[in-house]
Amino acid sequence: MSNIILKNITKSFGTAKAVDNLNLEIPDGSFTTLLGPSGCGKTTTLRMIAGLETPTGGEIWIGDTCVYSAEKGIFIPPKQRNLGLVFQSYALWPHLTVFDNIAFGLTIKKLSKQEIAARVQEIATAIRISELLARYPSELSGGQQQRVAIARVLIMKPEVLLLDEPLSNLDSKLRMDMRAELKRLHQETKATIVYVTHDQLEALTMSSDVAVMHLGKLQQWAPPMQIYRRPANLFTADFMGNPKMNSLKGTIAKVDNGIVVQAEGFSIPVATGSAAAKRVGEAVTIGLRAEDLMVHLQAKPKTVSAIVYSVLPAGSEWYVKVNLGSVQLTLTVYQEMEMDADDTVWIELNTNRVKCFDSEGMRLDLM
Amino acid sequence: MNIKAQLGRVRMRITPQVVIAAIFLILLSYMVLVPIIIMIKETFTVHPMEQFQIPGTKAGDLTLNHWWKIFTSELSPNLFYKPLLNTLIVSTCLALLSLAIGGILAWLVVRTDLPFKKFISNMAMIPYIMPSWAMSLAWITLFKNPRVGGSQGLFQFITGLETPNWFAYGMFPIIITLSIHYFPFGFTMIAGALKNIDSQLEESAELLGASRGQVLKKIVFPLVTPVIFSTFLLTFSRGLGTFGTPSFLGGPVRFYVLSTMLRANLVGQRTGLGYIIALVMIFIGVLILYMDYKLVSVRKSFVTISGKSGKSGLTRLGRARKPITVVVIGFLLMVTAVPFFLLAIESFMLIPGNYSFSNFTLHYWIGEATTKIGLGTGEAGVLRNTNIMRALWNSIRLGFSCAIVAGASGVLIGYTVVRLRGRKVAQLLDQMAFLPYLMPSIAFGSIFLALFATQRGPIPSLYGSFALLVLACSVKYLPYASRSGIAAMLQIGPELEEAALLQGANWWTRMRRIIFPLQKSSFFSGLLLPFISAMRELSLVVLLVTPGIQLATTITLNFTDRGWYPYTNAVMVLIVFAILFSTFISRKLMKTDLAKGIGG
Repeated sequence: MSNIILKNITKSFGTAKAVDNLNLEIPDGSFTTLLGPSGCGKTTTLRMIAGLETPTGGEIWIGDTCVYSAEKGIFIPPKQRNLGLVFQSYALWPHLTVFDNIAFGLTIKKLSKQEIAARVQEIATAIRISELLARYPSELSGGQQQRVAIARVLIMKPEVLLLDEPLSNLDSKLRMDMRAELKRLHQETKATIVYVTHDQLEALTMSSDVAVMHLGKLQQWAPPMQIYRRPANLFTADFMGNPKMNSLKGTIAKVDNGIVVQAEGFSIPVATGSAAAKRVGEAVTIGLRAEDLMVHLQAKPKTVSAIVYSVLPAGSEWYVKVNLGSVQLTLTVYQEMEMDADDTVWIELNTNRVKCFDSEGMRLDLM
Repeated sequence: MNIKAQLGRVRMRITPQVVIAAIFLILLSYMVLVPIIIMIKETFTVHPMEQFQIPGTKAGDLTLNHWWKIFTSELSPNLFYKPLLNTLIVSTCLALLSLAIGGILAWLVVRTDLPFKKFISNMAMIPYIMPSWAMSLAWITLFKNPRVGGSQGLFQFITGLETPNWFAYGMFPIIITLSIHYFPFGFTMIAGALKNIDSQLEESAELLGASRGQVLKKIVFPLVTPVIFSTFLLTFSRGLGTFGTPSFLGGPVRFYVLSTMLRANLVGQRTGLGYIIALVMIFIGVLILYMDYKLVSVRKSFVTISGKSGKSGLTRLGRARKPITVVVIGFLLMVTAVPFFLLAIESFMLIPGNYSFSNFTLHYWIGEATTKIGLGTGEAGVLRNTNIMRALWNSIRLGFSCAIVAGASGVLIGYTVVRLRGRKVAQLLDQMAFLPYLMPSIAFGSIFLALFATQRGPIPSLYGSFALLVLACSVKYLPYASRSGIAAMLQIGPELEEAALLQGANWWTRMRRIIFPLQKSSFFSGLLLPFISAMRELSLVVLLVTPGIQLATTITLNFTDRGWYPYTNAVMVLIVFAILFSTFISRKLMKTDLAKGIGG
């Protein structure tokens, strides 16, 4: 068993709190991603799990072992935690060959030369770097260095694999390939993976669970699609998804045929039985993903007119920026349309997908 | 929280880095701070030699006599104020002159289409790696006059003109020769700064319509101003602590600066007076560095970051290119090859002052000890003189020993400071290791004299031992070593060590298998500067050597005192040769670039 439990973990640097009262329970064998902008405390959290940083308060459990407790004065050093960490920079030792880099941990364990050679060979074959063993890290490409860094960690058979932005130094094509490989690796090793990234697409495509962090605090912790569909707050909604979610200021209003949210000419009916009835008159923010907006070249019922600001073709889809009153919206369009800057178009909403947030930025389940 | 938890927390914080930092902090405070306290105490104490001069006291009594004597007695002008004024004038002129020479040369090399840049840069470093007072010996050889120097110099031999005293000795030649020694320092600092200016800054000014002159005035000059200030202050503070040149050139005409006055007092058993002068020098040194830190805190961002800036357009010298090239190379020959040649020539002349061919001799190099020919010194020629050879060997030993001690400490300090970044202890260690830099050399020597002259508790008296010289030089050169150690460690990301930590390597294994191998090359290339510094050191060690343990540099002092210049010059030729040889070897073997090390 190697689930990871963080209880009330806090880490302060001076007066600044890098991680603020974080509670997380990473299940055994899961692929959990810590997602957030730089400075949100995700890497610090990872390093605390690894034992490279000591928290200021709280408890960390790996499996049945408490590896850190401020209260009880427990600190299990990193090497006894049976985990592997792949660094963002890969941290390959430049003065050692690939073989020696991979073999390092086993030589510390004082295994016999034959056994080390056999195990290095085995892992190198599995990860397809066996022809690189005699080289030095500086003679490898970024992708190859990445593989060596992973091999160096996997050879120790860790129960927990920590990955700190491992793809950020690769070009976008290679990144695509490596995503698939890392996902595959997870299925093969069955290790618990904790993955740190600021790239929401990586989080979406690879993880079984995503923990979104901001300013040291956990924002939401759920499977990726749930975060995308049902973001807990405005920050999460904003951070997940590309292009960025559109947001409009609106109010809850009572009209003839029930309660609606009114914003920039749109009138969005709320679901029956929702809490909206008690909140009539309250200001809210509504979130609209680019793909939940449809554009028409002619006026239609339930549409609102807007002026095209610019059109950005991106191959399989087009991004269209339109000015609607005082706000600018970004839309995704999936087929070619006759449209140019300054044209008038009509915007329709997919009302089922509209997200609504209260004045504090927390999600309201209205639709 | 219970005691166990407290203990657990404490244990988490005590890492090997902290232990190393603590050890260095203790050692450095013992060798830098404690001595200052001792010196202060000594200035208030009646010394055995003085108990009859100061009526009604006995040795060990408290007294303000020294301070009065230095600052308010009728002796004060000669004892303190005149040397102080001389020091300030010499240091200021020296700093300005070497800044001007170094700055112009730097601009020519970095920013114009001057040819032979590499050759010129290399040549320009030579005066700096030679002993600072080699130039003053060459000056004496050339310009001495019979009235003060005992015999005529080469200049008088050729022209028949007797040089006036002010020209041959005293302030004027001191300023000139020291400037020749120190301008390479300004050259490297300013050249480095000029190189690091991002050419885009200038290009955008040019695109906005600024002329070349305007760009120079409005962009380049303001950007290098901090470095110019810094160079001025640092050169000033080096001038303050230098001893050899004022001693050689000022001694014969009783021209004193603080450093020579300090030694005169210590040699004359007036310890209290000497230490007050040393304290004043330390005070000025600290003040200067403080000013440097406060006024030009931007300095570091220019000097230490060697960014890769694009190659910017070079100013065309046009028709002036040829004459300027000739002047530059001519000047560099004047300050490198000519002095060397002058030193050499003097050592081949049997009777000083007669430069005719018939007076040529190898006597001072390989002659037997006799009082019958030449100066009749009774000393054997340099190459067969066991005392001189032993002194030379001591210098080489000293060079190696303190290069290794300082280098190894530099690696460890660099490691600790970088790893403990952001913690108070790291900052403190960084500053403490830099402290010796601000001590004027001769004052630093007197610190060690104060500290090790007698046994203190378990620490034995090291006075008269080789170990003391190694210790003093190692600590004095530690700032170079720790700076380069820090710079080298910054290149090695912490994750390289953390990766090993996660693989189960303990601290020593990580040091042995990761850190040391990665630091190896910078460690070896860092050895050269301390080695050269020790080989040419005089100011620092002049108070610490004893007849039993001489260095090549200090032994020349004895010869000069007796007017035996051929010996002095022959030894100097050997020292210069050894330094050039080691620089060459290290360049070939380790690709060291001296210019990079000096900026620190």
